[in-house]
Amino acid sequence: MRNHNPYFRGCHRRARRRLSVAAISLGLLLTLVGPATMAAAPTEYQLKAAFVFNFAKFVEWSASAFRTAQTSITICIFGEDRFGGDLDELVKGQSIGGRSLAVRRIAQAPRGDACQVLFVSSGDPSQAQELLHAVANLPILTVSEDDEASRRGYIIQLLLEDNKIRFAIDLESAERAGIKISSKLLKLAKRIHER
Amino acid sequence: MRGKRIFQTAAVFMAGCIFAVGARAQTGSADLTKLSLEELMNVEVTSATKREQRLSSVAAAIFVINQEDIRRSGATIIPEVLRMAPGLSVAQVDANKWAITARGFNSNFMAFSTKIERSIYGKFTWRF
Repeated sequence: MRNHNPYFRGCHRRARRRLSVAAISLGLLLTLVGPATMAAAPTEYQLKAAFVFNFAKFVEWSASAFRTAQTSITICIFGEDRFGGDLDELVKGQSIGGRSLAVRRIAQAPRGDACQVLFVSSGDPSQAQELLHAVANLPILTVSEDDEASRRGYIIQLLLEDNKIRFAIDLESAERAGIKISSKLLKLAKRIHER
Repeated sequence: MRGKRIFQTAAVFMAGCIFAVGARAQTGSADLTKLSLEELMNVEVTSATKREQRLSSVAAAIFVINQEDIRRSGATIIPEVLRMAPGLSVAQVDANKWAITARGFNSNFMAFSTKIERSIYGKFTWRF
């Protein structure tokens, strides 16, 4: 594109400068706008949030799990919160069976009907064990992401296999908590523990 | 003059790169609520380290899979073959539906019916 005609050189230079300014501003604009509006393929916790939401859809709690017919379904996160707002964002504006959804972070075992779903992140196992004992007979759907979780009485155990999410269901724990699990969920489970 | 030109070229290239990165797969967490459990089970997660990738694995406009590649891969159906192409995301929706997505159109799954595939892949025949 080099032009040796002295009459045109200045003209080209200006055009080029304008082009480069345009390119830089476009680049800057995209750098600023890009991360805010465009997300990449889902992260592990965005996907896990979607699974937790779906679990809530396919289980049935006993009536004692909710204070009133309008009480929202509260998803409690125990331990380190790796969702970082993804779960809150996902359930915002969603409802299951006429109930809205809420997310809470808890540091101690929930009492009574404070939580309907309890997500326990893989952290301190002894602390999680203590929590599990406290909620074992409450109508709470316990979800763990710990690989060994099924042996410790969680109702649902999330597994990560080849970058895909799988899950196992412990029917004995579900029964103890008075939670009915839809056949659809059972059909998709990788493992089902019953006794 | 030459230095300036290199700078300008670099600026244009940079803008292009940023644009390309921005136009990548777009699946916000909000979209995930629309997917069924079966579909969610086919979604692959990205690890945090996946942002940086080698040039050889970046999606190209043209990627050739030849006869030898197919034979060595042991693939028996087209979606399995397409899994080899970088930048193509191949997910099985159910027994006979596949979602093949490219260049960030992750939010709407295209179920490739046999009819569509015939028109794309010409005379090639396969079983589903």
